[in-house]
Amino acid sequence: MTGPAATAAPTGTEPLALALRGVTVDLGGFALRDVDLALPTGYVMGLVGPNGAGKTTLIRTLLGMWTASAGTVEVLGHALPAPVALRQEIGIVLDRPALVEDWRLDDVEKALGPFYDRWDPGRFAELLRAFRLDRRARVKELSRGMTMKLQIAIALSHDARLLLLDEPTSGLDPVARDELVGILGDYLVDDARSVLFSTHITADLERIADHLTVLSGGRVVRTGTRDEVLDAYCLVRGDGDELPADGIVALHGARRTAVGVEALVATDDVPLLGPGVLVERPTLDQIVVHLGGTPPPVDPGPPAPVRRRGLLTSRGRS
Amino acid sequence: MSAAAAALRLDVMTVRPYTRQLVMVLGAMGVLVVIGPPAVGLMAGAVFAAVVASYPFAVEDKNDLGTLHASLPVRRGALVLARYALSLLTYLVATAAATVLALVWSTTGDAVVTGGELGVVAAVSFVTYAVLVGFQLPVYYAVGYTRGRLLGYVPIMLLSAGAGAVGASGAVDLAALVAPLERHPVATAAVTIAAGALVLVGSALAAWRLDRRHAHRVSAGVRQAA
Repeated sequence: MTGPAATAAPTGTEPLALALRGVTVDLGGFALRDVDLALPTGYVMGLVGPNGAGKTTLIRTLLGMWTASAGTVEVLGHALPAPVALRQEIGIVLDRPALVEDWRLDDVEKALGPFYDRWDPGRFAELLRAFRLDRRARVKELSRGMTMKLQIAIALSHDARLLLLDEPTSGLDPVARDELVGILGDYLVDDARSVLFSTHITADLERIADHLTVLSGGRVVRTGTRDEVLDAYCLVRGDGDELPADGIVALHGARRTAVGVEALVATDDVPLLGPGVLVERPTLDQIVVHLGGTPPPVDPGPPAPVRRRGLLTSRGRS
Repeated sequence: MSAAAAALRLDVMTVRPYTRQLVMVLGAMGVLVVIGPPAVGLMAGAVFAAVVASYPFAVEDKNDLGTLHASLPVRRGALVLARYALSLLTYLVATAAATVLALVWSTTGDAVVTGGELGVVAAVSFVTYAVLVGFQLPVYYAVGYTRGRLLGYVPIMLLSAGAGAVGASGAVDLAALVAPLERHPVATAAVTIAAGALVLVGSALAAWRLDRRHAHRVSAGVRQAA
């Protein structure tokens, strides 16, 4: 019998764009705990989980905005806290742009360009044209899809090697989402570039993600290549007698109705099921739905240390 | 372009969309120069520069620029330095404008302004500005603009109330107070500039430390123990 478990981060010799080992980030009201994941250079990792799973917290930890109290965080080969110069290599795309809303797109370039050694004004202009963004438009006048494109244009204009996207497709229509996926595909033609893409819209990841990490309740439920994650589970359906709650096979996110039970089980446990149980390969969405609501079993761990109350003690998660 | 220069440019760009409001504030200062004793306009310059010093913080809060600052390849110290530099530049521009206006206006009426008087007032104005901004900016770095704006304005309100009360009561002979300073203009200028600079440097260091604490979330216990 197996339960949901995080696959250990790869320990091969391939270069890693990101590596988190045993990372805990405690924000008071929420915490990431024992996060292990790794993204090899040149690939896309999809970070999925229900709302409040810790996706944004994890991205902000990678940006150095939150500091881990345990474990190590490495970004592009540098352990955090990394030199400020590392940010030259990182581009971020947030669901809401952290830009002055009254800036015109020209102002965005004037404000941000000087910070980057490799800022290419010609590239920025070319991307604005390709994305059909008017330089004279103000940030607040842009639609959600346009703001995503603007942030991507900024990241590409300083030749970022790592893109961190936090819910970039949230609120976008299917056309805009398809466009964004296409842009990322073009970005990844250079295999020195990598992408971390957090979302709760799994359909986008099924098209582009090479690696997946499922988060729930601040913990990694499963991480690995897309096939590893999808092959690790099976979706099973049967009646209550065939799939009892207290049976020898662990049922994840079981849904019990009058007509039967639907749940996720570890692939290795399938032979233990009865002959009447229907077994099928789950979609990523089904994995997130069934695993996202049930945090993985955890060890109690050592008692939490006494908090030192400072003037600016954090009280919530972001 | 150096990171510090880029940070200053970022702050200028941050407040630039709101230039119209700043011009209105400077215009109000100009009105004070015209309707009151011309030298008072320089003091108003200090107060208004202190008010305007809060603008980058207000815009930062409204637009989540804290996230932007955390993602840019620039040290937080450079951002703090740039914020103080912008405030000082604002004060110098406001004071220069008030000085020119005061001198021009003094030629049109009976209120003749001497260079010595202007110099003394400018020096006192700089110290006043330094104290107001020196208190205000660290408050914003400590608790953010939204939570700190009322507290940050306390010195301005106290100064304004105090100046109003003194002026109305006539209990203080300002001319007698200023006369010794006018007799030693160079020393007065040197002492006040040094005092103001000291206040600003101390304030900037405090702001830098407070900003670091505000920006970095550290879990209690393990990290401190390590």
